[in-house]
Amino acid sequence: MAVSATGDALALGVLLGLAALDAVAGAIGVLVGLAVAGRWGSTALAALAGGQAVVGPAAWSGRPGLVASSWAAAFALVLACGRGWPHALAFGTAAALVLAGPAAGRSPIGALGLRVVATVAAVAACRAVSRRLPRDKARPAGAVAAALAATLAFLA
Amino acid sequence: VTGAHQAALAVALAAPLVAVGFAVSRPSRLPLPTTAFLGGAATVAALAWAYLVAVGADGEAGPFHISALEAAAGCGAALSMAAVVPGLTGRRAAVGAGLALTAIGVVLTGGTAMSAWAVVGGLALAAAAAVDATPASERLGPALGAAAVVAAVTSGFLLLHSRASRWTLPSEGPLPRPSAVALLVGAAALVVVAGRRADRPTAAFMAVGLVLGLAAASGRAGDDELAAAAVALGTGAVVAAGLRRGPLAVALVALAAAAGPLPLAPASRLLAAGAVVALVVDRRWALLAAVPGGVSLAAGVLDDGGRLALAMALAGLVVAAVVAWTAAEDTGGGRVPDWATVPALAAGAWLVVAPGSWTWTGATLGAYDEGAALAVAAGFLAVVGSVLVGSAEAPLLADFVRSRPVATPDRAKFGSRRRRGRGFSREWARARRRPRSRGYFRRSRRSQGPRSRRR
Repeated sequence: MAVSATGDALALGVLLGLAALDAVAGAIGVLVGLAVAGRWGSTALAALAGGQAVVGPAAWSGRPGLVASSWAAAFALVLACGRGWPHALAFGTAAALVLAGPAAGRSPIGALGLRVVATVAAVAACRAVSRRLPRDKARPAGAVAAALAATLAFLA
Repeated sequence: VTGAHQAALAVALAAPLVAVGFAVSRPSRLPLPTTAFLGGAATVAALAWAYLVAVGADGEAGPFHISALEAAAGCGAALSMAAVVPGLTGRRAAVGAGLALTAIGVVLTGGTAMSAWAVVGGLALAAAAAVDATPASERLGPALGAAAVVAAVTSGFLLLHSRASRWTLPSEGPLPRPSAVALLVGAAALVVVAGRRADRPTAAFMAVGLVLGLAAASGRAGDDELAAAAVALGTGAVVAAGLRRGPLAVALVALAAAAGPLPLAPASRLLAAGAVVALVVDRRWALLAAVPGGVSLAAGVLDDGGRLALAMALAGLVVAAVVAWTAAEDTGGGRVPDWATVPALAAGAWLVVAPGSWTWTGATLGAYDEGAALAVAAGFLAVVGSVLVGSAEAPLLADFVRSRPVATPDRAKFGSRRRRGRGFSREWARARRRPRSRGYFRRSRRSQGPRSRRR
């Protein structure tokens, strides 16, 4: 879903929680979905991708509050990631989608390159955080970041 | 309504009654227990209701009427009863459950619309039969609850008649506010009675309460006059979630959404469907059936944007968080043959994967449907790949429908079936009382070494 930007952001959050078998990760995913809905006006991932195709990548386009919301959402997903490569791939791809969706660049090749770079960086960040940061610290921080992302998305 | 629709309606209403007739007339000559007949009849009724939902039947058929929403409620009630019946003991309980199911059918379809005589009379009869089918030591609570429900619903219809001079609920203009509130209170009480125990015949009332509440709220949908009721229902949902009554919490959120702004109406129906499925399956993870309703609720809130809608979203969010927080513990009841929940499990899977095809809910979830289909395909490939590679065992349907995981006694310790004595029975009884994790027995076997050495 995250790779193809197909589906619903809230459902993706629930699926991430199921994949991690972790209620807190699921809650963080749902809050990130709400942040996406607050910023783009819809929970559809297609709307997220389409919006970024029009206004540019969420990582640096738009009002500062909304940009901060997207970064907070991505950080929340990175912090919620469990150990192991499958978790890192799933959470990292979702975090990259929040920051730089498909067709977020000016040309198709640029968009693809941006997406690949963002995905690789997010997956690597997920892997590093899950290995180095204890879960009892990472998950509360992720929950705070997700709540901040949702709040900023609706208020900014 | 075509002849096929009428036939399906007749089957849905009469099947439980036929089983009751069998049970009453010659129970000793039946080759199977009466509960088995009633379970089969409830499943047949559920299929007939499902057919009516699928074809979108809408209209009058003699003294009855039918719509997709009511047929869906009938299907939910029949599935619920089919899952509960195998756990009942005694002919009296089976007869009570069958009569309750028939009366529920009358509540849903009697008259040209939801009529006072059908709803009040059917509810009273169904409640009496269901309470009679409940074990004697547990009857007081459901009996009091049923009395409160009947009183609230009766007062709602009396208010309706005094203010609007009519005895029927939908499609005749807006409901007077006092009548809508009284009916909503009755529906909420019915939902609470049903949601207390998933393994009792009263559970079948969940769908009835929801459809009654949805019908009552739809008469005032969009008005802020029901805002207080919506907020109260949302608060009740949070309390129910805190008390670990997940399906009840989802059902109350559904009623709250129905009493809220108009864009939340599809979400209320989807949440209602999810609540019924979760109650029938009676496992924590079955609450995933409420996910499409949650997504639809979020879409409705974004569409409306009002304060009441935001309050509903907040209630839904808190309920979801509390339910997820307590998801680690499976508090499912000890229902005897959980294979009876397989039809409900299939309906729940369908609801989670393709809620857009549940057209009677009025929800448009195109993006969700596409994503869910993709996720299911990817998940299927991942599971098959894992099994082929050898990193996982093939999951069986039995793993999902089995009752509480039970650590069975060691056969090696107690010998073959013929040589088992009192010790085996005692050990078995102890094991039944003490649920273990699914891997417990496997691990204990492994720790004892190969079978040959154990012997």
